[in-house]
Amino acid sequence: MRGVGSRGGHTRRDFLKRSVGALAVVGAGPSLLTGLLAGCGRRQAGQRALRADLVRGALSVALDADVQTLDPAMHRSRTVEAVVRNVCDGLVARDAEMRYVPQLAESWELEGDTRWVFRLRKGVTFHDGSAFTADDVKFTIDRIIGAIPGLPPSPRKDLLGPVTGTEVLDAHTVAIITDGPYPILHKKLVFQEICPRAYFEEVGPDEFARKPIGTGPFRLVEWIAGERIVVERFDEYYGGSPEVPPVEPAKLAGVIFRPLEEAATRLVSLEAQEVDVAVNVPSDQADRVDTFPTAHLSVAQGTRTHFVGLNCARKPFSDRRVREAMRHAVDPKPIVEQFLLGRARALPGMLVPMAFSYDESLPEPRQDPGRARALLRQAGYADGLEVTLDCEATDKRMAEAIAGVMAGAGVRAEVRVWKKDNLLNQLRRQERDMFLTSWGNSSLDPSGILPVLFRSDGYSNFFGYRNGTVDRLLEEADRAMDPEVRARKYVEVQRILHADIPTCFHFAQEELYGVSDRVSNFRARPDGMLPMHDVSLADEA
Amino acid sequence: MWGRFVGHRLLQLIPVLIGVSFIVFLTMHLTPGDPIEHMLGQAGRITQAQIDELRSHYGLDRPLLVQYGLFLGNAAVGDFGPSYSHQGRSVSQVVAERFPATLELTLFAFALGIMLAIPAGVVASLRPHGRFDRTATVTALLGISMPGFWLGIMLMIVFGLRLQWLPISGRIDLALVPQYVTGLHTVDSLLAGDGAAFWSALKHLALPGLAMAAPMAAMVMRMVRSSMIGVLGQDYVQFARAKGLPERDVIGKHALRNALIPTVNIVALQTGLLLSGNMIIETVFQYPGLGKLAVDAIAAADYPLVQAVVLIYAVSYVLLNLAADVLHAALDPRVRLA
Amino acid sequence: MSQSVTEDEILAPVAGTAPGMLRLLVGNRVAVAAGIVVLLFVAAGLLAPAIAPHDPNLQDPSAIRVPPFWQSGGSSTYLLGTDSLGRDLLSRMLYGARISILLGVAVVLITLLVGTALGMAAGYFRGWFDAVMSRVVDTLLAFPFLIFALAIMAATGPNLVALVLALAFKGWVDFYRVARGDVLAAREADYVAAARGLGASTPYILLGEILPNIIPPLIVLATLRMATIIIAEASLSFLGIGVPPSIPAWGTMVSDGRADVVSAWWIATFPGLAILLLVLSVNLFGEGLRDVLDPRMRR
Repeated sequence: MRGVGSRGGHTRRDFLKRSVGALAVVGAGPSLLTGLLAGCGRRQAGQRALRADLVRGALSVALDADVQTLDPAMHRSRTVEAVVRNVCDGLVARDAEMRYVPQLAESWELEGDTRWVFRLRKGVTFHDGSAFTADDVKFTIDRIIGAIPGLPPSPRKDLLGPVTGTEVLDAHTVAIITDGPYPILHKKLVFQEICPRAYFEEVGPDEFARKPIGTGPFRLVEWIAGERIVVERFDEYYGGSPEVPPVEPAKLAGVIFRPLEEAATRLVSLEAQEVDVAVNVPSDQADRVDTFPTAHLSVAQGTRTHFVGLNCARKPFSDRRVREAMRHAVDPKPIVEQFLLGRARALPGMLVPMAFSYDESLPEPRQDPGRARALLRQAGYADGLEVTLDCEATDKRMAEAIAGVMAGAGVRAEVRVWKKDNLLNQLRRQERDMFLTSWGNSSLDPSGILPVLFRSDGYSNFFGYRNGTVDRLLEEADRAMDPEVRARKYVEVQRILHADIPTCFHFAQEELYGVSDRVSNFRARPDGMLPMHDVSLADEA
Repeated sequence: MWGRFVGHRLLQLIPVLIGVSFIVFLTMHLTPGDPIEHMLGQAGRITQAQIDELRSHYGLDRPLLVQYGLFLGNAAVGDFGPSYSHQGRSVSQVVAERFPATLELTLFAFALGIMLAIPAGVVASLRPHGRFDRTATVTALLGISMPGFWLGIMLMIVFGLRLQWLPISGRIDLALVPQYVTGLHTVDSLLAGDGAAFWSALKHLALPGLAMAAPMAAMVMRMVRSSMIGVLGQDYVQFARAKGLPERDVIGKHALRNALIPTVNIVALQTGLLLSGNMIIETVFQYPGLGKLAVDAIAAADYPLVQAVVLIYAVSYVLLNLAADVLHAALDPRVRLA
Repeated sequence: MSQSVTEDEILAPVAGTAPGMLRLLVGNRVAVAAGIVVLLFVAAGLLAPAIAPHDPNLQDPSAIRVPPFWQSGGSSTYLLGTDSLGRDLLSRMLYGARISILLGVAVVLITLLVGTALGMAAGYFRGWFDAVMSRVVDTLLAFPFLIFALAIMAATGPNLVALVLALAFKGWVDFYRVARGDVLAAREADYVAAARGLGASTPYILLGEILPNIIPPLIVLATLRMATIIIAEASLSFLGIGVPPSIPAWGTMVSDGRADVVSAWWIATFPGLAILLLVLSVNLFGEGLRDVLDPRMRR
């Protein structure tokens, strides 16, 4: 505030002095603000400029969402998982064809129905040089299932189902114990990455969430929230699963992940060659990416089922005839063809064809406005039906398309758009009548989607749906160690759901990535992961 | 006199900040949307006990007024508590990380606006209704009437994609990021004497900065022009000319200084608008600053974070106006600060 | 005091003769042209149901992203082309004018009424009310309006009532300040003193004597505010938190067309141009109006 105290006068020198004083006040603004934020700027003083060779040799990825944490155990975000999977390996992984392959586990076997013994890879080190042991596996699993007091509960707990504990047998052998049979434990372990106990205990949960280390092919260099996450090659990497060659350190010098939530910005950035990979290209823009002179499209079948949900516990959809009318009012196939330009596939039910126990015998939906009108008339809606179709912002276009087609069957659907979390919470409270939403199930196992949505007590039963038979079949399937038996139960559930119609208009979109032509070995994956271990960049002159 | 004036005005800041924080507090708490639910998001089976635990952890189980009182007490010493959506980090940390980006963009837009507006206004005033004046006036009108988001999109397409002159997103070429001193890449690169980094940072600022500066530059240019026209007609300017002073001195020393006096407050007012425009521009350009942070924080019902950002906007606004008043007094000897 | 007297002197003759004002306004050709454009927009909005060639929400799956008629591939069925759902852009733009103008008028009226009433009360009665109001105004001025709008909209989802509230949240302050300042000056004016001396009641003095004299600057301000509000509404709709999606709105249309802006430029460009043109005309008309009605501000 120096200079502010000068006395008034009219000479030129005084004018100068006054101006300096005034400028001091202007300048004081920012520093005052920083002062207001009490001593937080100082923490950053150690931030280094990035190494030029790292940036030049790095692949740059435009993500479709920002990340709030990098702690593998403290999120439910596919984006976080896709980033973290490059830093931290798991016991089990999947290859590009979605086959299960051992990663940090060498092998595993079942003892009885409830005890899984994992033999761990030897000679693996974390990014800080410490050795990976059974203790770290125990720590990781225990933290997720809430067996370590004093740590916040993990939102990934239910992904481990009935796991109740772990037991270290020796430095490289660990047992995971479940409450009752849990036939798909190994499949579920692909969603958990191993964290180093010693490092975690040293830095604490908050710092770990900012700067996690793992055994993965890349090590975290910096994370600036909202701006970038930079990882660099970990030269001592053990090479990853031997079933996915080559078994060696990564080829890229590093990867730069940048959150560019707007699809338009991602695509423009890809076209202007500011990024090498653009995640989640909108279906109707896919063909355009193929016209970019320096980029192409990479496609995989999606695992997220989009559907229109109907609230079976509230009028008007408590009447099965009205629900059936909705099925006839609009057929996903032509809409998907026209508006997603074939970059999606209409489904007869909730499961995608890749999923375990997909029932191929379910009839394809067929649009029949006449039948829809007749059903509505029977149900007492001779003058047509007025409903609200709720959705989140990203689904707006599709919802408008559905509403447009439904008009032909006498259904006047008004589209209402919500923020994602906001809608989800309303759906969980079963407050909405008809809604376009989706459920991701990258496990490709029905246990990741059917019990959650359709059990009477399912935590995302949006439909007020109650069917004792379904409850029983799902419970039995959860516990059946014989895959044949499980499959039979799930097929039966799919048929009942098809008859009860808590959902209609099912489709799954393709996973579309825009990829620069200078990238080789990048493959779009159904599970949305972005493993960069085998990817490389063409040398440019 | 000045010290007392500034001190008094800073004291006035306090009720404003309390009022602002109270509005945010009420808006955020009285509208549906529960931060705990957002926090758990897609998380699986959640027991009521877990929800209650988190609720009491963040103090959300207390009466509203108690929560507000606690918030005020902590905020007064610069502690905004933990962020709900940025796990394991305090609001201050999250904000401090984003603040330099927004400060840099805003200062850049401010400087750009002034550098465009004042010369354009002066030149236009020299020959009213001449060709330059007409062009500048029409451009200014367009600048005022154009929605910022649309201008942003058009700039991106034309300069970023078609011509490929300027980068569309990001703050700097990452290979050139200078050593962290202030967090403002332009300043840091100058401190490091790194011309390439400075140039890269400037280029990255160009498009969002221009989109942000447009309406402000337009208003300021019109103000400068009209007050210059007024001043140039005054007796003392005519007198200076008659004395045979070079035209440059007449305009630069006599006319411009007096014409700038009424402009200062317009600049402050417009810079206030600049701040609010920043949320939209940062969203359009995916610029990692406070504006985008605020938009995301509201979506996540991250009350403390929203509070902090709003308070920063409010403080900036008040300080800007204070600065304008002081500057006004400095330029105009007739004005006495009271 | 001398200042307010001169103001009154300036104001008196102009405020006195309506035909004189009209002549002044008509003399300003730019303002007249702008006024005509605004009227055209109003007419387009009002008559949208009658003149729109198509239902604005009707989707034609066989005509997705049809370019405007003068481009190759364009058709005379869809003069300005169609969007990514095969909806007619021209029809959507006409309906968009409707909602833009409707919201603009509604918000301006609300803020004009609230701001003027509060401003007159504060200016006339002074005292604690004035003191409290000046704190409230300081607070609101420092408050980023968009945050308020975002918070409300995020919670309720897009709906028109909340949108009007959000837009009016801070807009009344300008009217408040003008009304308060003018009442402060008028309060000491001779004609008010005379009315008071004749035993006129306070409501009569406020509404019958003072109000007519402060209306012109308020009308000018209302016109210029209209332009700001149209932009604000479009910005909120662009962010997806403005007008509900079932109602065609320009901001929404720009947002919809954003992803297509390279391959189908017309989808985002036309509604953007419409905003630009309407706001520009409103601004020009407002400035013309100001030159006539509010000589103090005359440039």
